[in-house]
Amino acid sequence: MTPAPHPYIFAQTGLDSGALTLLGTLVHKMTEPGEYRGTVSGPAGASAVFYLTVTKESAVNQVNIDLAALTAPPSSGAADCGCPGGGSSGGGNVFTVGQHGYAVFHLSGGAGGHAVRLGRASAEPAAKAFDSTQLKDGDIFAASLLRPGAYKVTNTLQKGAPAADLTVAYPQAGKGAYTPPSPLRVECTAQGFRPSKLELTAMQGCLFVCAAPSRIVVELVTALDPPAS
Amino acid sequence: MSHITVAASAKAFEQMFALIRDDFHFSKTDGGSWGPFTWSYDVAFHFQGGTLQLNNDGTVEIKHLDVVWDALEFQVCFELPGFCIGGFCIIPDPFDGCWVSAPKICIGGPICLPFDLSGLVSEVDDLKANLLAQYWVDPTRPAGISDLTAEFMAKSNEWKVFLNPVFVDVLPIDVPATIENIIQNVFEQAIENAFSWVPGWAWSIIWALLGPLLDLLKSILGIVEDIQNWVEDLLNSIFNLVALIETAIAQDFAGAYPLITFEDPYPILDGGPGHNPIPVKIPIRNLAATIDAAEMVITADIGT
Amino acid sequence: MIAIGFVQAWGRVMPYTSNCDLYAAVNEAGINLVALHVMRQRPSLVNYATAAIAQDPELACVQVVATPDVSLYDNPLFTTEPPLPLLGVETPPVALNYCAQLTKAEVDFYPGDIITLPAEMNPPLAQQHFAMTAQLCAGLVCGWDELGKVQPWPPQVAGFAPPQKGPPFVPSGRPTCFCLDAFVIGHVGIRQLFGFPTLSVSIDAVDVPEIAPPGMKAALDCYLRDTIQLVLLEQLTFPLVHTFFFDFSFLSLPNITVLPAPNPPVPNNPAIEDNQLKVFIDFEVGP
Repeated sequence: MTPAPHPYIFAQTGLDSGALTLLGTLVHKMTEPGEYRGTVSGPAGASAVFYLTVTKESAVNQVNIDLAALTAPPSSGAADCGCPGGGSSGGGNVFTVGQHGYAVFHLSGGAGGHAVRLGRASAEPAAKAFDSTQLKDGDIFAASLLRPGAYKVTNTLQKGAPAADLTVAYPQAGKGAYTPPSPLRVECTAQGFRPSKLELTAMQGCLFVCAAPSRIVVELVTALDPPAS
Repeated sequence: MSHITVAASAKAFEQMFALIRDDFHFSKTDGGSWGPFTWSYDVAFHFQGGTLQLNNDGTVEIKHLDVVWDALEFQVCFELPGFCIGGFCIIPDPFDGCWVSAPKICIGGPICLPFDLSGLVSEVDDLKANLLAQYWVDPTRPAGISDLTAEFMAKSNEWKVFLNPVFVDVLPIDVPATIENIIQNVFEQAIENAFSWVPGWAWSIIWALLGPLLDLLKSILGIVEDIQNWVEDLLNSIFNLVALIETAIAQDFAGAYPLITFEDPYPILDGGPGHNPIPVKIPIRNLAATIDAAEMVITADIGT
Repeated sequence: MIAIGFVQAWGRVMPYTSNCDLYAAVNEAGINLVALHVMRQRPSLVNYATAAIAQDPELACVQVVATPDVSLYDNPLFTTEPPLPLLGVETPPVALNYCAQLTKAEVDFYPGDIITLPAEMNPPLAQQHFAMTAQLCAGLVCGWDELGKVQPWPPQVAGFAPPQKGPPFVPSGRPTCFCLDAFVIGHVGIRQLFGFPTLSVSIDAVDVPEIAPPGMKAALDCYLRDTIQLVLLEQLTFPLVHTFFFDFSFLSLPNITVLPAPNPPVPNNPAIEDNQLKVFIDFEVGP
């Protein structure tokens, strides 16, 4: 009798907002009410369709859309997604959120590598309201970095912009249990990242707030060994 | 006046008692739940030592009888909250709180802590008993057969003299002060086993997230006292091992381990090959056993 | 009645085991019941007869009383003996059927208050002694009526066929029976037999008052004394631990040595007193 294993959590050291994994979350604000149709593409050709209703009549401000669940049923060992804010999933692939509420795209399990597009259901071919491979002004890529070490952060859609240096440190031993600090907020502009030197502690969130078209890629450069015990 | 009188001094009685004490072994497995955890145990014990005194009130008193736990293995299982990834606030609420938060993945689950305190010694502080003479008939003995035929079928009737407890005082089991270290190590090992798929570099992060393990355990299990007291409560009250010892003495020790046992009728001359000649056996009747401060006295009559 | 020690002459209650580790006693009523059980369960020990009478128990002087198990397990009622030869009768030999039975036995421990001993035994019964009465019955099939069947063999001279040798001629018939009362006096001791302390019984004297003349009486008394002593030695042995202490388990442990309680402090071991046979043993606990 033991907890189910999650091999992907600790195996993933890099993140890509255009190929979402367990450690990344995309946040997009839904400002226009209406019926939306979303498509999810996953690894090995997996795909799924979902529907999102944005309505003035709903007070729900956050809807969590699990891309892994949409493209494949969760395995028996899948982690329990303690997802606050809930949102409402009407029937597995049908979601509702209030106007000016947020669609939060995430994965609850699996190797990841998912992308998602969202467009109005009535317009075919649909103008993309949201494309995870091209984040726009106001979109947020929330990253959880576990592996201590030195990272390089680049915006592949802003090729001229300098990369940011990011370090993740091991938590310091203390008297009580370690609680990760509040997430670090980073602005992604056409000129680069502000701040450009990012210092995090393991498990601390990093919020990349897009002010320009972005695809954020975080790569591990040098892994850091654990401190001697 | 009885036909037969047999008396055993305190020295002889001590030997008789030592024989049944050393022969006695008890074992049990059980399980249950208590609040946030489930438990199971597998225990076995035998008796050792003890000082014996015969009393004029017809009782024998045994003090400081050691209970040696040949096996004292138990397991406590509970839900380990584990640690969570994500869950932080992405867009704060201007009026405090959080407007949009990241989904979190929590990694925890059922975990069991196995303990082995075999070799621990606890004590029956005081056991007082009188003697009970019982005539036992084998329930499988066929009706109508003679006592001799019953002997040849290994279904002889028997006289048995048992210790009949009238007072038992079992001391609570004490655990060593090192139990905290033991629990710390067991919990650590159980977590390592539970998360055996975690790579080596991540362990210092996980230990940091879990924090001091004994504090974590106390928080999960709702323990407000110190760990040593909690383990003693677990053994003595929740597992009820004190009552287990008392029951073992009253039912198993006193009901299945006679001080004296012999077949009836009692053989005084052996038989020959092929039951020719048959053994000569004497019926024993009205057997009674008493104790005074000096000795145990058994009286009986010879039947016709 | 619950025994709580015994009361000495001056009224002080002493534990049975005040001078030993284990004590056992059997009173004479118990011993007599034991004797009855032995006679009923092992009748061939106290009933002797020739084959003709053994095969037809109705011919015996006294009906043999035995438990059903004796016949159930094909045990004999009698020990079979050869017929009694007529001395000088050889051509052909002639022998007589007979039976001899011990029909009653009763023991009286010191102080002898049940059996009145004959004057020849110098009553009263001495301390540490037992007395016993026994009824002996015997019978002989004289066979006078059948002597006509006996044909003398021809003399061993030329011209006569040599005689056919064979078993003796034994006349049939019902025995002529008689019973005698015998008195026995003896004492007890302890000896090591096959490695175990065992009760030993010594016969001090036997008297059959009704026999005369004195020489015949002495011979018969001696015959009975020898017989009783040797039957006790060969057939009736009683290891102390098994017989008196129900084979208490701890006494057979390899580190336990059982010893008769010594003198002092026990002056007589076994003791015959207070109408009881008493045994005192100690044990030592080895490594």
